[in-house]
Amino acid sequence: MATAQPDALLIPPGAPVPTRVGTGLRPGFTRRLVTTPIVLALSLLALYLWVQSRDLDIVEDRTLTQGQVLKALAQHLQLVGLSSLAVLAIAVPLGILVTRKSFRHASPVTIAIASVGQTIPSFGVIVLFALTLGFGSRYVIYALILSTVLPVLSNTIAGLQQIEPALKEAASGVGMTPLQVLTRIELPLAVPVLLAGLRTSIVLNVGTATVAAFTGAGGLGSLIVTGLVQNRDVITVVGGALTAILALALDHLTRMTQELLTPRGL
Amino acid sequence: MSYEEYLGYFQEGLLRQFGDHLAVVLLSTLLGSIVGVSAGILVRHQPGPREIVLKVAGTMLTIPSLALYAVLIGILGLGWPPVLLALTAYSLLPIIQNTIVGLNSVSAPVLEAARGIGMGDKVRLVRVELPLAWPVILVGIRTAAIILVSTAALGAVVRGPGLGNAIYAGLNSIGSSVALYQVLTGVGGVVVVGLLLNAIFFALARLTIPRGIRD
Amino acid sequence: MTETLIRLEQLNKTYPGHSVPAVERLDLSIPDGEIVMFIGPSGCGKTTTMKMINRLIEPSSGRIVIAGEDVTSIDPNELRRRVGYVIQQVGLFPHVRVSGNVGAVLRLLKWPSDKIARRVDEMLDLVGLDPSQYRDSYPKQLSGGQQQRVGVARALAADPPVMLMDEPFGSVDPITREHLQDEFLRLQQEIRKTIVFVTHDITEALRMGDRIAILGERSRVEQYDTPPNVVARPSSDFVANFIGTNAGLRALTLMPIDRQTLVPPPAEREGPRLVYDEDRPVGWHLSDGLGTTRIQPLRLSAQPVLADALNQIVSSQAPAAVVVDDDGQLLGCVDMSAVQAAVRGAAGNGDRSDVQMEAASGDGSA
Ligand SMILES: Nc1ncnc2c1ncn2[C@@H]1O[C@H](COP(=O)(O)OP(=O)(O)OP(=O)(O)O)[C@@H](O)[C@H]1O
Ligand SMILES: [Mg+2]
Repeated sequence: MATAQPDALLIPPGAPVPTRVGTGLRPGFTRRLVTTPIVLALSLLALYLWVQSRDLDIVEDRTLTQGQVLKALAQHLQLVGLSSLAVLAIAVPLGILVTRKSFRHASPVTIAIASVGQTIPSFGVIVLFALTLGFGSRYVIYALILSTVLPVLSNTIAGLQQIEPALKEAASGVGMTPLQVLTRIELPLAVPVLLAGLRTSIVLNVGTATVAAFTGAGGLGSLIVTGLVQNRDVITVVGGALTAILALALDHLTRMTQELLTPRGL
Repeated sequence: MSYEEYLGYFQEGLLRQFGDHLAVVLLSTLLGSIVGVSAGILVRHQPGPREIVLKVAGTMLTIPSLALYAVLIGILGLGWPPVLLALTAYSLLPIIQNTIVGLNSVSAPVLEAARGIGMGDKVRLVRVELPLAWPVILVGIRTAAIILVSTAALGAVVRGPGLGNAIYAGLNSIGSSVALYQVLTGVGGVVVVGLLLNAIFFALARLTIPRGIRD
Repeated sequence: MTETLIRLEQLNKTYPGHSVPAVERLDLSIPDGEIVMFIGPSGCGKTTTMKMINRLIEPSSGRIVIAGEDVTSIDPNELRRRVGYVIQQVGLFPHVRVSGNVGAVLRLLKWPSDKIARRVDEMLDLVGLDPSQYRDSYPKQLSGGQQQRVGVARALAADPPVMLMDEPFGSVDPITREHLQDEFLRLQQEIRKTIVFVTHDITEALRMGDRIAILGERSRVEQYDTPPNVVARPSSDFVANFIGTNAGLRALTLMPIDRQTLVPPPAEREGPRLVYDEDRPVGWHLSDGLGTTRIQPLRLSAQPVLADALNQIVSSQAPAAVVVDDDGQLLGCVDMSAVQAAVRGAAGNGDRSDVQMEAASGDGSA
């Protein structure tokens, strides 16, 4: 259940936000692109060597096989991937909808719900879903969607609202239809903020998905839980470290995508 | 068992968990504020160290909490310590970030006037920069606290304090009639802690932000 | 000329990374109790020079001596508490009340709080703000002009012998600016500080300065002299250009009206006639069907200058400006011939102008 916040939410309205200037690829893009993967690869190697250096007992040996670990990883990626796609499919249209003129009065409500929603523990949501709907990865995915939809929703709203009204007026002034204004002006300009929200959401998702193990849906969390239940620190640490590395890797991936998709001149 | 009966039966424990939840969040926010504000003060003018500190704090926030708890119990054992340490680590990014933004947005003429009338670096920091940056810093601290409210719930799986224990108990008693009560009460309680914290920070802002810079 | 209080000796400043110095080999003596105006093109180094005096900027080489003491031998913070500092953007502390702002230096000097409170009230009185009304206000509740008064009060609170003022009235509207200038000149009569005053406004420089330092590139001193001399005898084309083509008009702002200048009102038969209300002149009856114009007579005690007289003549369409005593009773008039004589003198080279100029610098400024 890691919680990352989009940068935009940390700074109160009115405070000057450091602006980034540049066109296309910002200076140092390549350096930033490769540094994190190298560090993560080294961490993986260190983890591997550390496990190798330990005398593993039979339980540890059986849990930490290549097959088991890769299976857990695949399950984890599946949970995160499916739920994140669903989050995008739900949050972006919803964000667009509530920022339309006719919904103006609804967006404070959305924000109020969002701020309460922020404190709902996703651990609780997952357990609650398992309890009421049943066990299985399908319900875990529902719970993950619910737990990670907010950052994308609130950033879609924020990204669309930050656009100068004058710009939109100018666009309609030159004869664009509302749909054209949305697709040609608003969405491209909202993309960086929206993607920052997606990044937060994915990182949050990787963490929350570990909890799925408690309801038998597998994933890297199952290593952690096995370790905890069987009192085997090595397994716990391997599960924890792999989850952390996965979160950092996906964070890096979305961050780079975000950088690539940010319109020139922003 | 009805919900009333459940509440009556577990009242004492739930109240303690509620108090613990609030306490662990407040305590780690406090620790995070001390570390984060100090770090922000130290690196605010140096782009190099500033980037490193923000990167480290950002990385911490990226590490899933279950993973961090898991790794930390290897070092600190079960209970409060891993939870407290992990939560403190999670609180750092918003606090450091807002400390830096707040301090660096104090207007140049005000700083020049402070220097011009003979305030040294320390006096200026304490009497001018920090008070003026405080509203922004406080927003960072509140953001951190709100993040921690829900994160703390999972602490229960490493025998940490708080309302996560009610949820965890529900998980462990799946099938029994109280399971749902336990989970719902746990989740509801956490949300109430969040609302309470919002109120606390609202009051704190009223009390600590001078009228001259309140809007 | 009085004793020198501040001496700049062979002062140089080159900012790191710049090849051209901002200030180069500057020598200047600033007399005790005088207002010295720095004026010059934007970027010529006025602010840089001023900030070296209180060590907000450290010189690259050279010396600054205040009252015989090399400033580099004084701890910068100690030094700054002894040198009042006022800037254009004022820089009041928004989170503290007016009293806290004015008392800021006193707190640094560890004065007891009751003494600070008394001093704060005294200072607010001095700059024309009612202490009971403004002491507990926050800066954002004040107008721009009031904020700058608080800025001046803050700079004066510890009674520093030296004041540095960097375009202090640069961001207020022209009317407020003139008002603040007047007040400040009156204040200076009382406090007699040694003031370095940076301005962009030649009118302000001529009006406020005991001396004007006209600075060129790299703070080169083009001319350093009293306002009348700068106007009458610009040392170079640079200075002449800087003062502008309407030097004669500017000179009028430096020429006081005194009793000798006054003439009786014009004869009543034909032309315009002064209108009285209870023995006090209040306007002119213009003969040729134009009706009556109201005037605000100049009070001699307010030390009016010829520019004021010209202003009244033009705006009232009357043949002369009216000067009264404190009671509003007519003392006499200033007519165009007096104004013309003065303008001719200033623009040209007649001896008469020099005589008048000397008179002007004698009591007109400060
Ligand atoms: N902190 C600084 N770092 C580098 N260069 C500076 C700095 N401050 C001023 N300069 C440069 O030094 C020169 C003199 O600047 P200064 O501010 O003293 O001019 P000024 O006469 O006060 O100008 P203005 O009338 O516009 O206020 C300018 O070329 C300016 O660019
Ligand atoms: Mg300047």
